[in-house]
Amino acid sequence: MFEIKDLSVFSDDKEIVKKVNLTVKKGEVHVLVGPNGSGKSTLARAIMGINGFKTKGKILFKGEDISKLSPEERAKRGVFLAFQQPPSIEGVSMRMLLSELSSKFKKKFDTEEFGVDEIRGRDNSDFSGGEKKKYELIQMIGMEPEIAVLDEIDSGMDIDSLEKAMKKIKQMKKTAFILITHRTKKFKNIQPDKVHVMVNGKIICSSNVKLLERVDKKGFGDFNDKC
Amino acid sequence: MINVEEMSKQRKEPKWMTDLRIKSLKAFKQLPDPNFGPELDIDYDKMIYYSPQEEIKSLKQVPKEMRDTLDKLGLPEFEKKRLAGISVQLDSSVIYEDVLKKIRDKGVIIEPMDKAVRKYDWLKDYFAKLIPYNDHKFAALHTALWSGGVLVRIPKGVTVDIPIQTFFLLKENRISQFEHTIVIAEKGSKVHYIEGCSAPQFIQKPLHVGNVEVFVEDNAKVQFTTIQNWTDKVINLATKRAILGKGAEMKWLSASLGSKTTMLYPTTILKGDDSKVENLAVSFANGEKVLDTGGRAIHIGKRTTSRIINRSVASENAEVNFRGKIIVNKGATGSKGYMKCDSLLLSDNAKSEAYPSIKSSNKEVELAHEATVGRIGKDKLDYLRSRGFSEDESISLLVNGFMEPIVRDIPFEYAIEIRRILDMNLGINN
Repeated sequence: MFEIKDLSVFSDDKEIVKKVNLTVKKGEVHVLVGPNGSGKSTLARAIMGINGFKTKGKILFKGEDISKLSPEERAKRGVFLAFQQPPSIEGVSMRMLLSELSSKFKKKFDTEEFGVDEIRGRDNSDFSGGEKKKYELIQMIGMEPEIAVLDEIDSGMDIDSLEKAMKKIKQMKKTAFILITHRTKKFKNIQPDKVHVMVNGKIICSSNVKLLERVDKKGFGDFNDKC
Repeated sequence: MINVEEMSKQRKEPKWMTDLRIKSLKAFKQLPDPNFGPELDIDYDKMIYYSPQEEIKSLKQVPKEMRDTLDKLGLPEFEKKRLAGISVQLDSSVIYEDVLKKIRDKGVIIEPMDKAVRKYDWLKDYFAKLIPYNDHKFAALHTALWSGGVLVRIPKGVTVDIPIQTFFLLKENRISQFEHTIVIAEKGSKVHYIEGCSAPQFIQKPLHVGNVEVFVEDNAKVQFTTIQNWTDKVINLATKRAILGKGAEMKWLSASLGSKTTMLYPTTILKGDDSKVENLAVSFANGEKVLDTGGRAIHIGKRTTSRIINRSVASENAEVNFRGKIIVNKGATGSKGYMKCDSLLLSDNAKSEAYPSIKSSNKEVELAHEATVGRIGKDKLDYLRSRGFSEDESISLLVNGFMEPIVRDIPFEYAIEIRRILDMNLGINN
């Protein structure tokens, strides 16, 4: 369904992501872990086609190479990225953005779900870190993407909300997920289908949930560029 | 050019008006063009200044293309939704006016200015009193040749709780429009007046010189909203002034979205102690447009407050400029003045300048001004595009968001219309 083939991502000619390969099947949940600066967020943005990164290799979505498409074209095909730090969109309230999205894509958004109904009339510029993440989740859930990349969705969220988010992710059987984090403990409960470790721009190890426990106990230093 | 004495006679005007027109025309010929602002390039001899027209009593008599414009704006719809009044000015006559009876029953006067001049002798104490006929070249031109416009007078203590609306349309080629509007809010009264302006595409190069005089008596409140969407041939030179009594509050809200050139700087004289003015403006300029807007506040009374806030957006080769002036007289102890102008440039060729000026003869005051010029952040564009909006749609959302702090004070139906105009100017079809 979703396949990354020999993908390299360059920022100012510097290779940040190095020949990454990753296959995600329909409805699977993958967790991508790695230390700060390992290239996880760059990979996420390259999947969405933002930041104007130069790329080499392929991003296959249902057999089509989307690596040269604009972000909006990727979004329309069913790719979603929840931003690690969404920028402030001044003057565009949550209500307005969601109503634009729902009229454009005939989708429904439920602001009750994460208890952000009362901030619906405001824009995100003065949202707390947690509110920003909930806003991302509400958009993600409403858009019903086929593949969703959630970049550090756990940061800033309180434990109850995170539990709720995890539950929701498990319920969304039609959506495949790539969950990016550098904290491993919180993601064990979700029982991911696959776990990948990214160090220095490369995915150096892919396995099942046990890999999370290993990272948990021994840290990323244990990998030393190989599995 | 034109015989104003003859024109005045045809219109059966009182002598004070005929005399005023004659001396205004004389002043116009003597006064120089303004020494600031955009280049105007007006051929005064080629303009058609006045064409009398029959009054039309119902919307059905309005020419079809005008009706279509009104329909597009949903104006008849508005009316169903409790509108205080609409009057439409086609070229230079007020052609349609429909005012809810209950407003007039409160003693409110809403009258086409052409009629009002014949009807109310006291009008001579207001007409051209805030904007003297010889104030500047266009004030003189306007006062010599004005026709159309509206008189609104709210009696003491009366609150008109739904906006009074008028609509100006330009139709024939080369016809200029010089409507004169006067709003008098007597002590403790409250009113919101909205004027909209529009012209279809076929207009060649008309001149619009509208004058607005607002008298806000003690403790009265007035909001004066203008939605200007002239086509990109119109030269729009509006002079707007208000004078405030004790504790009076004035709010100017101007959305300048059209015209080839606009010069608009509403001036407020804060005469009464504790009076307040808010001067809010948004402008959007595309193509080769030059929108030169801002505001002036003259503090005379004690503890008076002024806020002049501009938000402007320019795309393509357009130019948006801000001119703000706060003048504080000696007696205005404890007054506060604040000016802020933010501009957003959507292209490399778009331009923006700010000309703020503060003059104070009193030391016990708080005065400040700020100006920023920005561009749309790539990160914001990326974010919206990642949600499936095209680049143009994302820009439109961000532009609307930029203007939102000012547009939020405009009634919903008009805010929607502003959005539609902006989208059209940004090349988006909804």
